[in-house]
Amino acid sequence: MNARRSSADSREDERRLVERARRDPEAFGELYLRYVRSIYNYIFYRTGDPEEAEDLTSRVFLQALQHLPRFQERGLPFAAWLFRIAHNLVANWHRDRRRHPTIGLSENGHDRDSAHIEATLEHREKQEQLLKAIRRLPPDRQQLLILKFVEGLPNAEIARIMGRTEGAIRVLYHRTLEALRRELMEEISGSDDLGSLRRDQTR
Amino acid sequence: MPDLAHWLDLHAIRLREGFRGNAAFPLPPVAFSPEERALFQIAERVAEALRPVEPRSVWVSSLYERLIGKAHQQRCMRASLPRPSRWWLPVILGTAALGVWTYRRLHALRH
Repeated sequence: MNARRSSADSREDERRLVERARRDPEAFGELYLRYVRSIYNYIFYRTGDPEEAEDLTSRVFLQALQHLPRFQERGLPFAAWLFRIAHNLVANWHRDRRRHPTIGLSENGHDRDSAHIEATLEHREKQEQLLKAIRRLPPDRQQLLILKFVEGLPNAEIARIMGRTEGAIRVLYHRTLEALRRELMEEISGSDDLGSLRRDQTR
Repeated sequence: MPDLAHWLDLHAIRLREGFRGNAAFPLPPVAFSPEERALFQIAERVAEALRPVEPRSVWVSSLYERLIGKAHQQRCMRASLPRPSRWWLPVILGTAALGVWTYRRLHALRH
């Protein structure tokens, strides 16, 4: 009951903040600070490139600022609107890259940052393989995994952001894991990973 | 008996709380088939791979400055936009009033 009330309060607080941000640049700054990490993480995991993540995140907030006077809440939280802008920009980015393929200098994403280099090379390769498989999933499934694990959001909040019911989110998560398993089985057939997966399955 | 989606959901909650391996399973692992266990293992790998990444603080603050500057600029532009001219309003009201006055006068003269 209290949790529900506090969630309603925070929604009301955000609605007021968005309203204020239409006139007050500082309020927009507050919204930016509230969501910049979420949007950056979303784009980072969808592109796998920290430089592109910075560039696209900037564009998300510049577009949000430009179109804020036209933003209408319609029951969806402000974050859902930002994620939608981010989704469209990432989709365009993928389309452009398919048209003009480039060789990325930072294939390993944030690994250029020494603070993130902790794992062994083999472990990193496996993770990279998994991240690539995640990036091949449909956008809504990628968004679900990012909101669940990167943002650590509960199903109720994910459902609100993605405009679905909590039950639908649960089912989507199950299907996403099934799809990932199929992807990984196909991708790593013949490699050690498959062996370990098969070993696990026959156990 | 709840379906697998329910157990996977509980497992994800435990993963987010930091549990790993068998400790993250919502029931003893033997309660699940090997195919189902594979899904729990993939979920754990996803939780390991998808960790929050902190953007560069210099970039965060420089974008903040840029956005605030842009927001101020937009606000000034909106404030300096010329208000639409309303010169025709008194002309229309005056004409209408004159029309009503003339009509009443003619009407009064006829009776």
